[in-house]
Amino acid sequence: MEWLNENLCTFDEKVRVELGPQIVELDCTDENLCDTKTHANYCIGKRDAYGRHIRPDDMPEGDAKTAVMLEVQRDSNRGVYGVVGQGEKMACVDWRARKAPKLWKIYESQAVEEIDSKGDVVEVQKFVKVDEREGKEDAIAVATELAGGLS
Amino acid sequence: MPFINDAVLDNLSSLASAAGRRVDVCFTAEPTTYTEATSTNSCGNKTGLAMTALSDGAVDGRRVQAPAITDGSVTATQTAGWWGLTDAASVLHAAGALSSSQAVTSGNTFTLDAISITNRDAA
Repeated sequence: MEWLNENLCTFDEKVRVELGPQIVELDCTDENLCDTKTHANYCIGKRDAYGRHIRPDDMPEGDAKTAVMLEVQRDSNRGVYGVVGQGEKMACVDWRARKAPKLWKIYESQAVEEIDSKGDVVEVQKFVKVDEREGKEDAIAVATELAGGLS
Repeated sequence: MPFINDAVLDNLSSLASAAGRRVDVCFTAEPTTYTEATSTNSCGNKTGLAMTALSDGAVDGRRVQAPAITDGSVTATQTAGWWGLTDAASVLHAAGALSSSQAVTSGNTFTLDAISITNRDAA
C-alpha cells in the first residue's frame, strides 16, 4: 500500500482508494441552479454531471439557444446524454460537499471491453469503481481485502 | 467555469510553468477524481504538457494555461463530453465540460483548445 498523496492510495496498482465528491441528484429548479446551491458550471443551457443539457427550452431565443439545440440533436443522434427538464432530477458533482460528504472511492483494475481502431472489441485494463465508504479506515480495509491482502 | 482544485485556487503560481501535465478527454460522467479522469472515464489523453507562466487574465486577474492540443491520442471509441487536467501522477488539477460533445474513435487523434485557469480580480 502506497499513498501517492493525502487523498490517493494505491495497492500495487491493482486497487486504488481515492477521496472524492459525490454526484448528487437535485430537482432542476431555479433555486438549485443558483450558484450558492450548486457549482456555477450548472446552469440553464449547460450540461449536468451526466452530460444532459439543463433546460435548453428555457434559454432565451437567439444564437446561443440555436447552438445548444443543435448540440442536443447531435447527442440524440448518437444516443447519448439527453436533456433535463424543469423539475426533473439533474446530476451535479458536489465539489464542496454541501449536500453529501466526500467519500473514499474504491477502484479495482479490471479488464473492460472497448472498441479499437479497427472496430473490434478488445479488453483493456481500467480502474472501475467497485465501492465507496465514508470512513477512510473502512475503505482501506475493503481495498486491502480486494487487493488480496496487500498492505 | 470548471472545477478547480483548492491547491490551485490557493496558489495559482504552483501550476505556472509546471511541466509534465496531462489532459484527458472523458466520457459517461464528469470526472470527480484523478483515477476517473485518467482511467475510469478517460477515452483519450495527451501527456508531457507544459503550463504557461502566469500572465494577465483575458478579462482581469491572473491566469495560467495548458497549451492547445493538436495530437492527443484517442484510446477508446466513445462520445467525449469532459476534460480533466492532472499532474499525470496523482492530482486532478481541474475538470470541465467540453464546449460540445464529440464522438471519438480509438486510434485517431483529438484536438483541444487551450485550457485557462484564472483567478479573477475581486469584484
